Amino acid sequence: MYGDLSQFKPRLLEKLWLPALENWGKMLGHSGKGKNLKILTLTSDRNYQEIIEFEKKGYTQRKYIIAWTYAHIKKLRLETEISPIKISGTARYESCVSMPTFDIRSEFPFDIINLDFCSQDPIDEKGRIEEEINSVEDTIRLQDANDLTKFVLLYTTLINSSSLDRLKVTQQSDKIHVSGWDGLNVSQFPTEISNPTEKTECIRVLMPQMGSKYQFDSATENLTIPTYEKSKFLIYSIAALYRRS
Amino acid sequence: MKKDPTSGLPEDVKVMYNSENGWRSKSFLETLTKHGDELENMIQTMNIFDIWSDRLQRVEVSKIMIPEMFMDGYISIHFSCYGLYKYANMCLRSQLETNLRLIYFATHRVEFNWWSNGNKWYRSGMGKRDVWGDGYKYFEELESIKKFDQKCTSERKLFTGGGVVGRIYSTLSDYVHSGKPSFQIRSNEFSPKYKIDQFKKWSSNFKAVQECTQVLLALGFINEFRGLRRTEKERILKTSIKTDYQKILQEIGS
Repeated sequence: MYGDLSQFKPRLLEKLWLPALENWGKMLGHSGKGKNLKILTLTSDRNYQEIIEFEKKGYTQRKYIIAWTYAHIKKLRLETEISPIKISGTARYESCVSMPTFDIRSEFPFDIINLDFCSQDPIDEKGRIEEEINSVEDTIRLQDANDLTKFVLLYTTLINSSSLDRLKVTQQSDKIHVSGWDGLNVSQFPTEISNPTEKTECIRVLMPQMGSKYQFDSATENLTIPTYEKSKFLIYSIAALYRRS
Repeated sequence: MKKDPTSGLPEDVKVMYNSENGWRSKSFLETLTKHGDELENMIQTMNIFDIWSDRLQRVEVSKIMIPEMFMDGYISIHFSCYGLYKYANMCLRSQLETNLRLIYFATHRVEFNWWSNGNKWYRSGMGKRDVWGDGYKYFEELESIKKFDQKCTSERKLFTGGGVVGRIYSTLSDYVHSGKPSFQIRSNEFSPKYKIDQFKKWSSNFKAVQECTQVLLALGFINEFRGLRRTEKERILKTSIKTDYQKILQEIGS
């Protein structure tokens, strides 16, 4: 539908992911050598350049990385090509993360989580982006449950013509009650957000709030990549450092 | 200079490596060249398992059995590309069997644990029966399958009156039990080679098994099928299922 979205990975790495890690790496305890950061990455069998870069920059070694892919055939290829990384999945990340049977629940927490949903061949149907955003909160909750004080989360998504239903996101979030938390607040946006700039802005507003719900402060950087000249979609990525004292 | 991968290997193993690399790549290339488009469609069919794997996350048994079914189908393609038709067909029977077991075990967790842990009493009690009992009576009793079969023409019924599932299972069993027409070797041929008649026979079996598999998954997990996204449902219906089954599934699954 959207072609090979992994072609945008080099730009994401160069313009956002690696600079963000460069900025925040030291806070995670990365000093260029020594500590291996534990990383979870949603990746593609066609391009797993982030794994190579994370390793090359000395953030980690392969045995500390867990790669997630949603497809059997991709898992087969990845297991052959990037061993000994543990490859999990064969289901969409956002479908599983909130389930008690989630395969990698016991692997949490991670120092860096790269939720690149573009690597999962996004479905062209309403509701996709809302599920992704809610899965970001589920991920933060799993980090919180494991008493982590700081981590970097990269969220990358495809912004297309489908609108974003902000109520769906907030209502799903409200199902998990945290005492003293009043709920996500994005009421400044229309209920059905169709403008691409407003959609990315809504995500930018939501990311720190989802951290606040679990008492994390945050800092964010974001990047929008317009795709082909006449295409009706763009790639949006946001990097967040979550921390608490 | 590239290192010889066979250096240091014992003599007969070295010969086996070189000779098998030869016939494998020859058959592989010939099959891919002649049937590229057909194989592309078959791989697309295998990718449908990603949808089921995603949507049956709550069914614990599926997390083990769906990847196994995928692998049986995928390796079947792989074997056929190398001219290993007998083994390609054997994989298909295994895929079909796992599919039926998945439907049964999804609602029989205790039996699943007995089966997985090799419980002797359960295994010996089965005798020649499969885990779900004798024949296909269990499946015929499932409401969604009953409805489906009622709407099918007699020769397309899944189970009722010696249906499609039993017929394809029996065809594939010939390969497992080595009935002579299902031998890998032919009277004047020993080494595996691309053979158009064998490929076509396998391809027809492959398509029949994939159609059965997708229909059985949809019927065995009818609520999950109903809850699929529109695009996912369309992919399942249109990739490997013929129009008569498509119509009935759409009726039952809407």
